[in-house]
Amino acid sequence: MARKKLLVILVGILWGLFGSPLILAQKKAPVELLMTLDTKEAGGVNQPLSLFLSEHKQQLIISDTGNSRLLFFDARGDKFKLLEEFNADGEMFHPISAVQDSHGKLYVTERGKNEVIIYDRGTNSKDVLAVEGIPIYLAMDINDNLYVLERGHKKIMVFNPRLQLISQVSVSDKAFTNFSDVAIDKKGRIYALETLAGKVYVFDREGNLINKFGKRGKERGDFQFPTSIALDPHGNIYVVDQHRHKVLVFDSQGTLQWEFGKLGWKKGTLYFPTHIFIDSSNHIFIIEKHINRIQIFAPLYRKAEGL
Amino acid sequence: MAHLLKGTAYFAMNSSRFKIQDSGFRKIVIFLILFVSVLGGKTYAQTKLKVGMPDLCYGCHEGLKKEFSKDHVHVPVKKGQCITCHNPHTSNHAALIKDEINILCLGCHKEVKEDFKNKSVHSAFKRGECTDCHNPHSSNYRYILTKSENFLCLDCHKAVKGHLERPYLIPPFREKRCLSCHHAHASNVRNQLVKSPSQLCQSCHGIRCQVNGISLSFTLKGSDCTNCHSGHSSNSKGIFNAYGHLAFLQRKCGECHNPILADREVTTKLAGKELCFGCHKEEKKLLSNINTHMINEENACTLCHNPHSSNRKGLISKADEELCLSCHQDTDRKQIFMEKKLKRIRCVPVKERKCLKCHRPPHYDHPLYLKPQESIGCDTCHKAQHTITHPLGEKAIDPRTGHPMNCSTCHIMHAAKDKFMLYYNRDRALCIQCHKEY
Repeated sequence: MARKKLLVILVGILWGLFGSPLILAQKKAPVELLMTLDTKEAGGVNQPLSLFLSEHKQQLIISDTGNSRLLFFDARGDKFKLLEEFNADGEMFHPISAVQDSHGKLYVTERGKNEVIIYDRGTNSKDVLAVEGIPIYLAMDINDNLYVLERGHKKIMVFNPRLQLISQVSVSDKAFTNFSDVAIDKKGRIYALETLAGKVYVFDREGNLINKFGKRGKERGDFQFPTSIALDPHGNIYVVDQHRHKVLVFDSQGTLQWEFGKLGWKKGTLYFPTHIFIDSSNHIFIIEKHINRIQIFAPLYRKAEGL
Repeated sequence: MAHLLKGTAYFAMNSSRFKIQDSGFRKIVIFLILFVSVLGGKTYAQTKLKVGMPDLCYGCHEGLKKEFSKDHVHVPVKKGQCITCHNPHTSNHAALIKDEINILCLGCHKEVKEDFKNKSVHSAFKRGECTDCHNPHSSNYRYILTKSENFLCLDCHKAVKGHLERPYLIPPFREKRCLSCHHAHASNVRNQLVKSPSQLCQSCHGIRCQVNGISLSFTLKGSDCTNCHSGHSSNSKGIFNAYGHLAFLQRKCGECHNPILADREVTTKLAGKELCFGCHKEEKKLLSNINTHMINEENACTLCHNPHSSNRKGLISKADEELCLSCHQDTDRKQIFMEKKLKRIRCVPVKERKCLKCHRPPHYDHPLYLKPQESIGCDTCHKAQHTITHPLGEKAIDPRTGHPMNCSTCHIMHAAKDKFMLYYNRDRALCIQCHKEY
């Protein structure tokens, strides 16, 4: 009995010395919920697959996949008011991903189509970029280069603003399954995610693999089912883990910095999060496709930087 | 923390003279040393036993001595070391064993523990107890199995047992020599096969397959024989699988393949999914679903379907468990944790890993590839539930999500933390998720 008491006391001491500071450090993940995006005015969203914030136009574009339309929100300030919806006069069908270049041209991928559809809303014209395979997610860098994640042949295709194919990125490893998301940093480096291996790949502008990290597992920093990747203005890498209901944040070298999120429906919690996007103002947009919710977080240090 | 480390270093360097400047830290260190010495030292005196082991035990457990003298005896039993596994006084486990049975066994059988690292692990090995198959004391069967291996496997694998009734059987299966082809615990080949299917089959006989008199041995060298043949038995000569692709059954190879030539690889007319969609035009529309479950172009259809034949309807190539959980290991891991915590899972599809009972990728357009609620069929088993309790459907909207309530609003099928596979405790925590006024 006495030994049991001693053991309890010792555990208490060790917990006080080492355990609680670690737990507190985890709880103090430097991120806060700004708001849940209000889509009621548009009649709500149905399984939105991705979003993109156009820095030039200051517009947030939601791919409202289930409703076969794009939703545009005003991204000036922190209000995010609905501007309009766009469905190409009813021709759009289950958009997967949409990005916008500095001239306002929209690039959209749709389910079941082997092409990227380009809408010039200024001239009300439409063009098509044929892609052999299955184009899924799109990304765009500050120079208007277009990145197309093509799942059919496990590659990322890079097109210049004149839509000429300038390079293709792939992984030669036989065990490689496929890319599941892509993000581009200011220097043009390509960050790609492989869900089934739980790996993040970093390629330089020329498509050479310069770093890779991560694995699936149950240790801290391991992934269970990572589905989406984004980069903040400081170069930190954010990875959404759908089955852990968390976002894991790594530095540019792949060292885990901190993580946030826990399973729930309440504001600030995450329910099978599926997609992440971060804008230059460090707004962290997280889509929870299964409950049709889009939450916007921001790091606490963002305020200190006057953003 | 730095101060603490500094103190530790100082203590380590000067322990002989016991110079510790920090009085608070000194107290902690002295306490830790005392505590460790109390734990490490023997705190009670050894008493002399009346009779030596194991006769002391057999003195009361009279029948055991005879029972433990079968052909195959567990080494600690043979040596009379009952207390290797049993605590003679008290225990938190049945039969006064010192720990949970699997932990106890794997404590010595460390090489068996390594088997868990293999790609294909027998579900009974992964989720069951060692004593399900092995007698911990003695047995008349090798590996101290509880029954002859011929019967042990087929007692669980009842469907496979039924295949013994078929007219065409391969000899090891006819003789119920399961371990000729399968490893009992785990291997790196699917279905815990001891070798790859081609190596296994060809260790007894060569490739005899022909099309119009042309041998397929060149192209089939190294390929999986179970793509066309059953590994056990069949109703058809040639021991073909039970379900076949129409073109395959009609021997119309030319519908999909280029002309077959001797000593040449057999090739398909089109690559990947385009070959399938040439005929299955309706299925092509599935690619336009909101959610499409596709790894890549090449494996778009063959990820789940066998283009020739299968022992499963819809030409599904593998059992659900192997088909789905080979990628979704994390879901399986969570479920194993749930099963240990809840101890009892009643939901049959969940318990038996029948993934396709509820999910149907890519044939349904719902989140998580779930079939519509009505076709999942929770109510086919759970007839009484929720007919008299909480309303479901369009009339009961979940205020957290705005979605109509269904079974999965309150139940989480693979990672539940509370009984009845609920997200939260049903006494209160579950209800106040929505009913905040309480």
